[in-house]
Amino acid sequence: MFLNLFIVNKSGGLIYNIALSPSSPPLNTNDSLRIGSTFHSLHAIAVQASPNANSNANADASNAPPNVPQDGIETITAGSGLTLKCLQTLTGTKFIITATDIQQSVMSDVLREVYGIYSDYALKNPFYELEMPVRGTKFDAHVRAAVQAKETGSGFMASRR
Amino acid sequence: MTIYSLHVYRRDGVCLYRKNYNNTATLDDETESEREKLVFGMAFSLKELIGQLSPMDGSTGEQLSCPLSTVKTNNITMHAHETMTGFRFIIYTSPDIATMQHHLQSVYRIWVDKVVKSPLVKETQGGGYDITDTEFGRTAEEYLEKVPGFKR
Repeated sequence: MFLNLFIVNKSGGLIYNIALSPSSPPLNTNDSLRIGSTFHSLHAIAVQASPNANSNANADASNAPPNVPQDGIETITAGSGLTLKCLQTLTGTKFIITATDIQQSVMSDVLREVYGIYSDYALKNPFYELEMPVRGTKFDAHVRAAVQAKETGSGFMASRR
Repeated sequence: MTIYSLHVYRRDGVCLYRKNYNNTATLDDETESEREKLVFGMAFSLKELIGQLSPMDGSTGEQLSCPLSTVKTNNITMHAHETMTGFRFIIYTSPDIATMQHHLQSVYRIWVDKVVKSPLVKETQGGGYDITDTEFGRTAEEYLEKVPGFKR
């Protein structure tokens, strides 16, 4: 089941979080903010800490097109089937989702859908300020629906197995 | 499929062993020791992060224990294994290797055999161990060479 969804802006500030299951860990506002910014920093550090980091960095500096966000953490797996997936958009916004026992491809699909919902119900909202927290009942509703659809879809596959 | 490097850390963060395989660039000491600290710091912070994100167990109402297993970026995958005593074994591989948990546990067993049980281990200035007199490095490399996916 899906546990939590976070959206982090390009400066590392949390702009949206939602608990998607009764088994989601209880996170108050401060916890969520901290998780958002910690992940934002670790996302970048992961690249610096890797073995071919320096050769990659030199190559990127000269060849990379400008304004493309850096490589970073895409997936984290942990015990008990916990998986975290991150989608970083070209604008530096990160969509992060955690789940247990859901296929990684399904999680990636959900992230892409949430990105679509974000651009439809947040970015196209004339009153929405960029990089600010996302508040909107339509956004919440569509996110819940998208996650629910994928969850029952993948649950069906699991029982077929 | 390639294995890039192996790191071994003690619970206080001191790097006890680091080896790059398959011609992975080894830079000067200062950069490498900085990178060692970054790797440990990342493993430590990710463990805390995952701890906060772990689901609640339906029956007991407590958080499930989810130890960090892998961290994947576009170019590398970091596989981590933490023992009960706080030792961390970290292997960097190419992103197409999904799991190395079994191999990490074998490397831990090699560590126990060759280092923990060895009378030849010396404490160094920085608080680390000088384990060049043990056979850990050679044995670990021999083991990892037999892992499918070691060489490019």
